[in-house]
Amino acid sequence: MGEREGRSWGGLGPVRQLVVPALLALELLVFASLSDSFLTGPNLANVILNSVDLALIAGGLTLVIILGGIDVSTGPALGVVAWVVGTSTVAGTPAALTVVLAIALGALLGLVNGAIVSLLNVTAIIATLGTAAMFQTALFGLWGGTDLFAPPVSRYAATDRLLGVPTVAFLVLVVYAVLWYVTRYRAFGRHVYAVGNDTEAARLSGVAVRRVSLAAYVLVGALVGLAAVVYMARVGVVQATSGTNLTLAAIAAVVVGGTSITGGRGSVVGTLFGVLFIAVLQNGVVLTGVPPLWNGVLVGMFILVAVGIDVVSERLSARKAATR
Amino acid sequence: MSSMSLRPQRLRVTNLLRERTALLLVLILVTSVVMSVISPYFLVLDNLLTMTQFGAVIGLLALGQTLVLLGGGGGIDISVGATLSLCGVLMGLVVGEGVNVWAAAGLALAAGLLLGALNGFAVTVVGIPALIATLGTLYLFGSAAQVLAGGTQVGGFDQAGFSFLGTGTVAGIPAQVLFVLLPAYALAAWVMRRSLFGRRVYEVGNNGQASRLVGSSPARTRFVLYCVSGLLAGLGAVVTNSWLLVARPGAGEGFELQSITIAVLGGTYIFGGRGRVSGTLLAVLLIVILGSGLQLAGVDPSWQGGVLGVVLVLAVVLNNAFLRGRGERR
Amino acid sequence: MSDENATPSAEQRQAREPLFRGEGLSLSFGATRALRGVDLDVHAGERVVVVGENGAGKSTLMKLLAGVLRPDDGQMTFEGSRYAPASPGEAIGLGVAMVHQEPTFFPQLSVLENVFIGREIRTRTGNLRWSAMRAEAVQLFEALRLPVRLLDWRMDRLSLGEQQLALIARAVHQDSRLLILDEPTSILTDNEAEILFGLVDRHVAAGGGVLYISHRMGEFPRVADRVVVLKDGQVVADVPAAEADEQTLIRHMSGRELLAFQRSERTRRSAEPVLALRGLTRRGVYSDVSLDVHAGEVVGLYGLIGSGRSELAMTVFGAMQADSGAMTLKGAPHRPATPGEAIRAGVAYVPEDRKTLGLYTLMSCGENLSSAALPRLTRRGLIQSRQEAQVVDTGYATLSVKSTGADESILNLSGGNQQKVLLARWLANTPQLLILDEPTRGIDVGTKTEIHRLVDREAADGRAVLLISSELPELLALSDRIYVLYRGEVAAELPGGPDSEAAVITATMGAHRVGQ
Repeated sequence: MGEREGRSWGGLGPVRQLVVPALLALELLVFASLSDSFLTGPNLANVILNSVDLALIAGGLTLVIILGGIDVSTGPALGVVAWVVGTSTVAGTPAALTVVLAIALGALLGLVNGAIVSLLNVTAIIATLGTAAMFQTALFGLWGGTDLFAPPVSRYAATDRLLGVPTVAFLVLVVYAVLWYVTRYRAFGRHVYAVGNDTEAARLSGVAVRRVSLAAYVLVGALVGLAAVVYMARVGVVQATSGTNLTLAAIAAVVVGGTSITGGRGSVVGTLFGVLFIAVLQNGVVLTGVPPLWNGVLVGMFILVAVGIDVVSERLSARKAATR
Repeated sequence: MSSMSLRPQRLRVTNLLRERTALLLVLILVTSVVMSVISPYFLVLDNLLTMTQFGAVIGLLALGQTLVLLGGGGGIDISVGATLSLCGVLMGLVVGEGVNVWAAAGLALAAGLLLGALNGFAVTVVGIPALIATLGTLYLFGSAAQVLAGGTQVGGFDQAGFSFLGTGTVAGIPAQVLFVLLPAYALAAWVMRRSLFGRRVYEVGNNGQASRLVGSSPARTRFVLYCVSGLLAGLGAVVTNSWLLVARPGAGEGFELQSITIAVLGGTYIFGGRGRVSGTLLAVLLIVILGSGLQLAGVDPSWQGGVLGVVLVLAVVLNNAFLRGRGERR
Repeated sequence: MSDENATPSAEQRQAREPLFRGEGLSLSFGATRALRGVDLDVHAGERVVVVGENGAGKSTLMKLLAGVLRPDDGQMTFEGSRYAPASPGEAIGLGVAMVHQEPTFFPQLSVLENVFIGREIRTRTGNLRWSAMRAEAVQLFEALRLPVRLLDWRMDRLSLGEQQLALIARAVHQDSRLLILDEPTSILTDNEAEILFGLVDRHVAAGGGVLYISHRMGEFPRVADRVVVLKDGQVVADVPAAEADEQTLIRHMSGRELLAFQRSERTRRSAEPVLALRGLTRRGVYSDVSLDVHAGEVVGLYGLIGSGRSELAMTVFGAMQADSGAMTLKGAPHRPATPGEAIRAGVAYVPEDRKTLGLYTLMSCGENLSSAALPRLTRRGLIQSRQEAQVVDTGYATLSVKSTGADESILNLSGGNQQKVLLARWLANTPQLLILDEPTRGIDVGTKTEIHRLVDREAADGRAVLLISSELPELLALSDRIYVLYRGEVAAELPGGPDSEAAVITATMGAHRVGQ
């Protein structure tokens, strides 16, 4: 009898499921013992504030990657929406309207991606490389040579606290709770997994493959829009390259969280841990006196190690199953 | 009944390839005409030659990317920019230790080869999907460059005639194009066309299993491709250093996605087995002309990105339209 | 073997309208007439087994019923009304579910989800009711006597047999009235097969019908009420299971149209075989296989899909490894770790699946042809183009490949010409041992004859040829000797020629083994 996995639901195996939380705990312990200021309220609040936009994007991106797709346009898309948010705020538009506008615009950009991928059958990475370049240029045009400064759309999107915790943290929790519910208790969510496992089998089982795919890209777009609101409140300025470094960071968070880049397997909960792991790492490294330049080295090593373990253990258990 | 889908098709793959070349040539021509109308200076030979230098570095990276993509099996190298940054910084540090700049350049190439081998190992031996493996090394290499450079730039390259490579010209042709870019493309084209290795790359990219059954090793072939991609990034670092005369730890940022865009625009099939080195060169040329044309027209060259994005998606959509009914998707 | 399930008597069946009726069903693929006016009835509560040689048209017939293919002629009725499904989905909707030999599923999802994807149980607000689905699945699995704990396992962690059973469970769950099973027991263990039989019994007891393709005659008394024999696309016998004894069935199945082919005189070149296998075993695939192939003879390898034929060939070719046993090639130990080693030792293998294992679809005919010969044509890493052109020309001439030129894309060629290019690829290496795996599958009659002549000529010229083919007439006509594999073991070694037909079929069905 080979090793059997418990409830899988297209989720992660028991080992892989615990890798990131365990490492996160280890990370917290190490940083707490190395730096007195690490486990303080203001610092932890800081960690959260700096990672909310990443968390929102990565949450949506998880679904697209489980689907077997990818979106490398999230950063530039965020930049475009951020400009609109900033402009709208400066113009004195009511905060609620600005937020709705941001989400709608983000969803629209996601719709563009989804339409190219699922209706025109363009490979996801090419399609979103193309739209990334377009969004980037659009932002450049909007930016027009002068940085746009704007106040937070609302204090709730910025440094406001609820029970001592940054309010935006609750936004992340709500969004992830909804995503978890969708992936687990809605047919759409399960169909995302089915398409990522085997598109043809999904079609034969009566899954509306194109519609599911389109919806996933729109969803990630909407979350990018929401992330742009928080981003603007945090950074306060839009430049020609705003958001670009979030593209790969979001993919990294999803992958570190255990979602398979080839689709069919993964979870939003894992992604949340992935985001936390990266955010804590970045913060802790600074506090313990290591030059922040080391961040990328650690993130890169962690991606390779985590996914390497994943790949090797998959191969071993598959071999076991085959020779059983 | 596999024979059903293998029925003769009037559509020929080689034609499609030629069509992509034709599309690029038409675009290059149209762009050139428009630009020369906007600016009479555009068509001056001197200007035409000078502007090619802007394509040298990205051209090298796009070449490496083309080769990795051709090898198929989900191959992709998004660490090319970070590899360039790291090699450049390493070269700077070695020069700072008093090593001759040309020897240091050789070292940068060796470093590129080694970093490429690391990618190749992660992908072909460990079995990590290429997109993730090279995403990891992108962070690793890029950040290592920052750490080693201490966050600032490293200089000291202005010796032993090194700057000639980046800024000199021979008969009006920039030295980096004449001595690096064109030889690299010529060599690559020759190898891909004439050598057993080149043929095996196409075979492996087209059908890895069939290739294994004729006695070649898909893993080894792909491993070499990652090494070559790393080497070319190292070469890009040398050219960048001789041009700017400083090594910036962020020199290669943003090149990763650009190089993929150029390779695919040049007709390389994202899943491997189809594409040509010459197509990539044409795509580089298009980008150079577009960029400098826009500059002459007083438009910021950043606009070319958007234009390229549209062209990229349109090119693939058009291909899809041609391929429809053949069960082949991209 | 007790028959505890209550199946309706013959009179009861006659009295009722059949659940399914097909009349005059015909279908051709190009020149091949796969089905020629087949009549077939299945009544509610009846289990019908369809038998026949490879290529008799069984799977094609089942695919008509399941909506995968559509007939050229003839009509079908299901539950009394006209039945012409346009897709598998429509067939499932109407109550006809089929479990294919090579099934598709969701490898990284749980078994429970595999059963329910696309037809989930939801609340009125659209939420998935996992508990309800689980309860239903538990009920289903218990009814089918499948281990309930399987429900939580990842599909790709199940054994092939367990996967098959889970998919059958899904098909049953789809409220199917007619359940079609295509060789379901070929990958099942005896225990799993017993579970399947129980499942079939319950399905018919509940008023459903079952159509079942099988080769294992030993099973028939257990699983069938009636046995239908197909031969060359026609129904040649339709007998109650009780009367379907081995001899009768084999008599019906044999006597196919023989190949009018006069093979040339061949002489074994030496007493020592080119290839010798002794006790070759790969767990779960083939076991204790011993065979010889001499220079100057064609040795046929026959067996059903899943009998280990191709795997055996792959092992000789270094693409797969044996667990134990020995191979010798021209007297020297032969244990290739890669195809490259086998090629250098003088082995050539033309694989069964042209598209996935042979062709470079994006490349030219010439490049496809020269691929295996390239190392020989390379000097200092460079392909000598003149020599390559020579190899291509020779290959074109030997096999009379029809294309506009060596530059033509391989995709433009007919299946037959593609196959010729692949044969030429391997002949270019003048191998000691030529292994051909289904060399004439899916190609036109004219090319088929050409390939037969080529195989004959190669043997006459002193080559050792190992021929794997599912087409018995072809194999009988071409082979000097035939080994029959049954579930990974050599069941018989027989002389070639038409007289061996019945003996080969008998061995193929494992007729003398089942029930031991």
